[in-house]
Amino acid sequence: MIVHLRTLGESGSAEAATGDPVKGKAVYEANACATCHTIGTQGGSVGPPLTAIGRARAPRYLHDFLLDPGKNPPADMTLPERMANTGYLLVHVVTKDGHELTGIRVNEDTFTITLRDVAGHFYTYDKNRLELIEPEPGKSVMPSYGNLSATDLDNLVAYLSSLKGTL
Amino acid sequence: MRTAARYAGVLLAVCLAVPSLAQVSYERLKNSDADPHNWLTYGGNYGSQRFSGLKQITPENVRNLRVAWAYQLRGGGVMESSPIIVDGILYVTEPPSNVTAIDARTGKTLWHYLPQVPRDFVPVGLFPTNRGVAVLDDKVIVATIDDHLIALDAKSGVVRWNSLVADKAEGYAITQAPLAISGKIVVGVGGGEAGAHGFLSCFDAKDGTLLWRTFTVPRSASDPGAETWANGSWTNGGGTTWNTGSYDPDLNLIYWGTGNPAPDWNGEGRMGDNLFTCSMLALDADTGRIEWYFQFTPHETHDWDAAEPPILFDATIHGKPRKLLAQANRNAFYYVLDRTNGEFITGVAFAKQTWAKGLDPKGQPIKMPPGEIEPSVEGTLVYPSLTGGINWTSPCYSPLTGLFYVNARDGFAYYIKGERKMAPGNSVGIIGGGGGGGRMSGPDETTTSIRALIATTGEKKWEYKMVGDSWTGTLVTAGGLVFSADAAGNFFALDANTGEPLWHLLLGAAVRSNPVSYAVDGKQYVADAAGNTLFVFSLP
Repeated sequence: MIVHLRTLGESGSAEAATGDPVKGKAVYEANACATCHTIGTQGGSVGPPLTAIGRARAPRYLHDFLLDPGKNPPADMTLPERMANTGYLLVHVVTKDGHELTGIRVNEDTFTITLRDVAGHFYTYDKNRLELIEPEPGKSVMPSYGNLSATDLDNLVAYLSSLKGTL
Repeated sequence: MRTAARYAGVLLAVCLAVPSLAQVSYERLKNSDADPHNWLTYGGNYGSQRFSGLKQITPENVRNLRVAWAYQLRGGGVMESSPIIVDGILYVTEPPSNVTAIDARTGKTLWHYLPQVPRDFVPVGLFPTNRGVAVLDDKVIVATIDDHLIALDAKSGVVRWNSLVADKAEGYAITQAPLAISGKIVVGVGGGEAGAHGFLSCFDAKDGTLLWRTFTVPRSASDPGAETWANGSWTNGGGTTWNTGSYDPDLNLIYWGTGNPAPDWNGEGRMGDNLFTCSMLALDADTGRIEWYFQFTPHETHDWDAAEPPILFDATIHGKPRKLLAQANRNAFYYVLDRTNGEFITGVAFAKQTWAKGLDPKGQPIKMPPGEIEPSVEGTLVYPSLTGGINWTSPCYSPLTGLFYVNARDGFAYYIKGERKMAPGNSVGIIGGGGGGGRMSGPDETTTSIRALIATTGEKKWEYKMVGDSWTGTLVTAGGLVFSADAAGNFFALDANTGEPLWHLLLGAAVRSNPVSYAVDGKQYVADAAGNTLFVFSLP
């Protein structure tokens, strides 16, 4: 009668990062990651806060995620009923009068869907007024950082792994 | 003059506010279909049909439905109670086992009863909730999480008798609403994950004296069914009776579903069919004797209890009138049995399942190879999930449409086999009573739908798909509506004939209960709980 729910996230303690966290912080700043992410009290809110990302995610996960952000989306901890692996899911909708929007799904039930664009605006649609609701798993508003050198990538992973602050 | 007028107003208000306190005789319970203004038993009538004969609210006017009043739990938790309504008074339970009487027109509390449940008691394998009361004569009866059956005075909430049903130290706990029949109160037990041995008990409604007790699994090597547990493994327990059953007054038979064998997900140490687990039992109401049984899932290893409410209805099959029992089983199959003798009539999957090729002519599952379905150390993906094609919430049946309405879940789990140690009263293993567990499909991998099945065949007439994993029962009315809710807490009404959505309102929390309907002073109400609040709706 009791359900053993799937494990949320991946432990950050299973392995150690090999890069230099101090140099990784410079990579973080050079790539303007704070535009979308908050560490402590500073940064943007398009993506999840990273203050304690080192507690939640293993270095291997962070490495792979930076290369392909859409492949393994983070859990959306703000919506307990959607606590699986579908946080930050991109959804493309087309209204019956022809308007289109692609945004991050922040809420969905049987009757409505709410999306957020990168500017932080919320859009709620009655589903019966939509022509198309198309989830886009595998895609992300976050770009790939495959253009970084292997060293920079390792350093960035080391910096993120060092973030074990209090939320 | 002003003072006199004010007093007159007060008196008028008092007269309007005090509902009548009529007795609820067995005859009233038996004939509850003729009394649609009240909701007198857990399942709406003895057949657990959850059909309301009221028809003031219709497909044409349901869009005008609005909240008439709301009642918030005094304590914490989620309300899973299905209210009972008697002549203008609504009785509802609150976690863990509290009872509240409310004026059904206004929402005003009339009395509140808090049983003395030990604060340190934590039941194994189930949530400390309560799903409702029974009423009989001048009493309201509640079963408590720590295994007491308590009769309260319907007018005041004062305790009239208090009987111990089971020993919580052995893993027993009760969350269900009892069943009141002629002079008797029938109640089951939970605890299948704690090594408890299932049984059904019957108490004298006058003073709480135990009249009979029937175990659902063997207690000795000479008991019926012991031969279906290899090496005396019946000592493990299981077969609990944790959800409310049904009753046929004419046949004088009680119908009650039983839960899983123990341990749940590792059947290696209990080879055999493991009778009478995962079965429907028909018991003589006077003696508790098992008159017939039908086992849905022999040697069950996925926690697919058969505790789902049995719905009784009469229909013509192949030109012959039959007394039938239908159950949407947690194993994802819909069954129709002859309730006079347990004969299998038909069965068909009502939710996605991958564990059986189908059912044989006797209704027994033709299982897929063990390697494809049995729990394993690494996890075996099987539909349905641990929570099943349906769980404890109730389906409903309309004699007007001949349809069986069920909130069906299409989800999977990776079933994991673990240690199979059992110790009554304690959980052993990954979760619950040992033997393993499961990793559930996520909300976006699970779909729930209201499915309308032709009751005699199980054929799907229509379905209404929802987003997320809904845990709400269904109510069907003579007005032609089906009420239920989605996972987000949208309480909605569908056209009972077509499934067309007609109205909905977001209640702000998940709905984990069964809707009911009643009428007072000529006004029909529909009630259901969301989160910690009971909402009652009516037309303006």
